[in-house]
Amino acid sequence: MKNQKTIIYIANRDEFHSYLLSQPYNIYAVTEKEGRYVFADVNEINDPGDKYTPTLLPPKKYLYPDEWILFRFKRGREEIFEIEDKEKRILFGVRPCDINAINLMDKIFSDGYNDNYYAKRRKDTILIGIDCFSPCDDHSFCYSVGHLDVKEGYDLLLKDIGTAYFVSIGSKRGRRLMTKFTKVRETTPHDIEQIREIEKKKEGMFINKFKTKVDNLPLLFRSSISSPIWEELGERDLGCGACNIDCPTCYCFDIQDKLELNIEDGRRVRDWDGCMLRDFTLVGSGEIFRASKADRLRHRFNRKFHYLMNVYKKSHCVGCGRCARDCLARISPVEVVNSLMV
Amino acid sequence: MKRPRVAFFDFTCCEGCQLEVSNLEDRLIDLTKLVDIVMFREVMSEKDDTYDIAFVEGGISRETDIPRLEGIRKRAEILVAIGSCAAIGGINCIKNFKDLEEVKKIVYGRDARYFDTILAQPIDAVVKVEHYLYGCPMIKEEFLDLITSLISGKRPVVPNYPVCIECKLQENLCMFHKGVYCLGPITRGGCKAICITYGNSCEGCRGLVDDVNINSQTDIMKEHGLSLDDALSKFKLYGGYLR
Amino acid sequence: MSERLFQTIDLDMRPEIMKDNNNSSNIFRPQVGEIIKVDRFTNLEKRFTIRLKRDSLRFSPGQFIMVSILGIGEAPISLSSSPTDKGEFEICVRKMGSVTSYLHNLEVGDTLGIRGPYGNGFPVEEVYGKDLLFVAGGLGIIPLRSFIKYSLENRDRFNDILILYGAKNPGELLFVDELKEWGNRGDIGLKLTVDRPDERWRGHIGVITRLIYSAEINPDNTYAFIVGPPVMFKYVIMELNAEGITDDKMYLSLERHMKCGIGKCGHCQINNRYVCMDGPVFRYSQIKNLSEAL
Repeated sequence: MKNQKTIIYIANRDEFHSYLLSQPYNIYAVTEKEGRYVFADVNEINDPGDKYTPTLLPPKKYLYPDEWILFRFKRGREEIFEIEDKEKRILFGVRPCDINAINLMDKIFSDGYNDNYYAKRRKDTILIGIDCFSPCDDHSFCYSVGHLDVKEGYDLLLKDIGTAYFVSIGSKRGRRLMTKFTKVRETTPHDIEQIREIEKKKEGMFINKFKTKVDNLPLLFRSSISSPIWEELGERDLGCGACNIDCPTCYCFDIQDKLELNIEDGRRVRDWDGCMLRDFTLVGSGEIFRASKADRLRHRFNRKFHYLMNVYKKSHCVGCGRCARDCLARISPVEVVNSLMV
Repeated sequence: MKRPRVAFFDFTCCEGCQLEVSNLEDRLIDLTKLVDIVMFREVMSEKDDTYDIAFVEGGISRETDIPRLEGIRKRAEILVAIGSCAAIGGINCIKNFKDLEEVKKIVYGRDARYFDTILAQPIDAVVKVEHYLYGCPMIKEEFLDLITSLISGKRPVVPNYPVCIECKLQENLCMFHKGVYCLGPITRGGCKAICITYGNSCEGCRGLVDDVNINSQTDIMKEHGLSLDDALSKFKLYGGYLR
Repeated sequence: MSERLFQTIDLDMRPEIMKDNNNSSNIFRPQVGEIIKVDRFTNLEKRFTIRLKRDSLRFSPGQFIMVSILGIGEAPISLSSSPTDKGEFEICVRKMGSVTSYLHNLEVGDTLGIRGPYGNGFPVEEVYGKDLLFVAGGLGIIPLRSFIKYSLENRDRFNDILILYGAKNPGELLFVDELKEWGNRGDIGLKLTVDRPDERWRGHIGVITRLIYSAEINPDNTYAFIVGPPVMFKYVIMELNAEGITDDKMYLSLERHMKCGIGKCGHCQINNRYVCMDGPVFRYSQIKNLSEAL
């Protein structure tokens, strides 16, 4: 039982930030961009706190980046040069929805064949989460899909209480990080009371936006394979694939070889791909297996709420609302689920 | 390996695509190790009429363009349309929506009668084209990728996803969310959403991506305050030549 | 409430992917293979016999490999030789995309990259003692040949064997020398058909379903293995159903766009199944209710 205990600290915000910045990691944190937020390489930590809305791209860009070089090679001699990824990083300010998404990706990439590329980056990334006390905006629905609370996956989880963080430790390396930081104190009964107050306010602020319980979704989607809703949505769908790129649990990829100008050296690259794009199922003979936008939408939603959910027993949509926030055709999972419930 | 002989030609255009080739700067030297450039008016005075790959910039807008293009087609094993004008018709095709006599007057005034003009068209309206490099101007990296692909025996990759994909990758705030119209959702990507990244909206210079939803795009533009006419005129800037 | 506040975490409950002892071999790194023989079948199809430089490829009939040409790319390709050929294996490739076209220019002694084998393969041991019915359309003969060869090498393990093979025209039939040999064996049945015969063609003409109609099949003991273009499956299944072969005794090998071969890239998914992991061989009863399968 020696590893099983609850360790909670109160840390001064600014001092904790300076401490993290002094550590031998590259720090990526939430920063403002054109009125929205992005994760970016930072020199100081300025988390927006309760003003946060999900970043334009989820933190997946650090764990399985686009244009990811698998290896370099020299043609003719069949020589392959593996790339050593040496960066150690801290992702600061990852919200529960995104941590839950990373937990789902941990399973996807380790199931069956263990994806050594993902595993390496995941191991070299410290996740410092910040808990949410109120819904970020109207598009989010984390509570509806069971991803408001986060139980694992983070190294540290912070509750922002103004000048200080209430720190929960989620891993051994999280504990190590806190042990080296001296300007903390153990929580007092007063602190606990304060946190309780905040947590109490949270109750009732998050509601189930779905007209059904999340556990019913696989059955709902299974029985809606030939629903006319898909054709209706397909009419509206731009087919732009933005939702795939934005999504913290979309991980499909393409692999391509790229050559340098000397046509001898090259690299094999793994690029983000999206099931909403027409060529996603195109085979050599010219056949496209999901030819219409309706087919592709149905597939995408079934992956989130049916196929993968049946395997992993959790919704593979974490309710961050990024797809809905950015969809020009206003297609949102909340609308899709509820219109299938009619 | 024998280096393929490469030639550049232009029809009605601004020659900006060829300028992109000269803008390769130090990589231009590496390029000449791969290919033998035998004709390139913008950068050299030598001329040679035997070539394997012809890069053609510009659209067809005069009767006399046609036999010249056909001649190039006959001599080249591979013909590549470079840039919007050659590949999709592009800006030249704006004139197709007006009476041609009137167009000549607008452009040449009193001297209009000395000039011959026909409906503007992309080069594949006249001859067979093997490869396309889209964009206004075409993109250097895509040009190099085409060359290395042709030489190494790889099928060149033509992006078939809309600009939105790369725009999201750049983490740009959506133009529509800034209240500005944008043709990104229906335009062929590959440009890394450069215009939006630098604050302009997409004008559709790379032409339509396969399988677009024009109705939905038009609805969205209407929702953002553009009349159907306004929306159509936006489409016409580069996409006036529609088959 | 307090439970949520003070949730207890076992700090050693790290996700599997974070543990240090997990296999760290590179899942995308191909092995080097050397071409030891090339046979030209038609203008479009060639057979390559390949040997891995460091290892020998252990596979079962119906599995596939990812063939990689550095600088060009990777493509999934069915293994077509018998798994008992030690040390070497065969693929038969139609010139179609970048990789397969490039492959066609390679010669004996040239090297290429190999990943795999991947996929499930045919349920060979499950059908010991049964009648085997092979139905191949066009390139479908390629993966089936691996199983056919195995069944001929181990003839006593199976009861009746009947091979039905259809192509567009006689020139498109693959493995012609072997077809003659199979036809002369006497202990198996072989029927060929083409859509468009030439003057010398003496065999059947028309769609492959006609061969099924005219064959003598004992539905209770027969397992059918069907590989062909997407349009063929539906009609063959209908015809076999009419012969009394039930859906659970038909196996199909399906083709989809594929990038990784290991259940990650998402391209080959048919509803909730991955062709690369759950297939490419599927029992028909398993997929008949999947809207995206056939």
